[in-house]
Amino acid sequence: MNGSLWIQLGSLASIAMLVALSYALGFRGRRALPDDAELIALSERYGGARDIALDANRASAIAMLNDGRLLVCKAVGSATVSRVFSTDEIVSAADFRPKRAQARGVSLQFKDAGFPSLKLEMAGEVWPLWLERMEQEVRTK
Amino acid sequence: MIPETPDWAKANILGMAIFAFTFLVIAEMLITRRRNPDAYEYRDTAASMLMGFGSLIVGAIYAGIHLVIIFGAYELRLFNIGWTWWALILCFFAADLTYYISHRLAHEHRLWWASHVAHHSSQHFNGSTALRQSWTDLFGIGLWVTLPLFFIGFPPAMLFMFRGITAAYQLWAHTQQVKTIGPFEWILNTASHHRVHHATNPRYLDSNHGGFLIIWDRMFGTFVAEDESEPCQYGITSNLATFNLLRIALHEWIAMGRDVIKARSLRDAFWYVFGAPGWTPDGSRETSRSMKEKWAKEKWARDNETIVAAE
Repeated sequence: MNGSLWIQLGSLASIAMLVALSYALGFRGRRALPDDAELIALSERYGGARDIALDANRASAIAMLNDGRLLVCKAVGSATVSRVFSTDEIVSAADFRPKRAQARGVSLQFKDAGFPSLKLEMAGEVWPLWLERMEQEVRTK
Repeated sequence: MIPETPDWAKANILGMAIFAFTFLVIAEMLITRRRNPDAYEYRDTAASMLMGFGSLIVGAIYAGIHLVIIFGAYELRLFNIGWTWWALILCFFAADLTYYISHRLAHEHRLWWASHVAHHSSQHFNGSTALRQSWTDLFGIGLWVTLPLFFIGFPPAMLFMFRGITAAYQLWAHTQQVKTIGPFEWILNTASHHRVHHATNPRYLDSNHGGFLIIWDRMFGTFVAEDESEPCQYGITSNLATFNLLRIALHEWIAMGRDVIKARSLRDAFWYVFGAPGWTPDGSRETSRSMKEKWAKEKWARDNETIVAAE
């Protein structure tokens, strides 16, 4: 093997070591999204929300804003990220069956390359009507 | 004829600095683990470091193209500048000034921001953030801003050396552990100034572009001092909801491409590419400038609330 290949392998090994060290030292922050009240406060910036659907694991949330757009929030590592999308920015919607019983999940894909997807898991088979309707609309698009 | 490069200038400064920097990253992790458990996040660290690794790989490919352009300009040089003491001093300042200009352009115009945004896309600010580098620097502005210096006649190896020193110097500036370094804050780009540079608070946006020196920001009006009463919020104004390396590297290119495709005129398409990040024909998205103006207005209203109420 030539020298530069060794350097590249050494660099990859160093990266693996540093990532493992950060994991071992406890830098695995998993942020839970704030509760409904805080999400409502966040939605005020965009004119307020009609309703909010919060993921059972508090890893994501969708709010239907008063102007018909969606406020989507997601926990990413130890940070949270939010976006406002119009419903036509949803590329696809698919149901999934979560591990926990009596729960239902939906996975949404967005056009935004920086916020590509969101998974939402909610207890019970019955969802808010607006979410049910939105999912149907996306599927039939 | 190309002047012979002295042996002392041939050292791989950046390579050695990155190796030494690994130990600083370990030290920072150990120091912050109790004080600030959110200082690092292992997936963010992995993404940042792999972006750095990838940038070295693609950088080696780009280097061939860049070198052809650089030596093409150097062949047409106006002067034969050797490795003299005065040339070294001039070259240091010229290289740092061109770094400032290209870095500022990379923040103020979407075409170059699309490439540079990768470096700013972590919501953490730590040693690993320094290594989160672009994979699309082939389309960056840095080469073109520096090219006149080769045309003037500065030896390419001299400029490469100063660029290496600037890049190595900036590694340590990516930390929250160093608060200030006293009077050096006046002339050097320090950790404090660079925290502001990486912050998304409206008042801090598009500031402190200097590489080694901060004097250029002070001279050209882009300097903003860190204010302890307003802690920096790191990242970009539309943070990424993914650790996918390709998305980190390409998300702004994709967004720009979509905007150009749906542009209603050539003029709009031009401004989607060369305008400020966030530019739209109808002003429906925010740019750094509009965010700063909004912040300034709100601040003015807050500061004058009592006066207005009294009136």
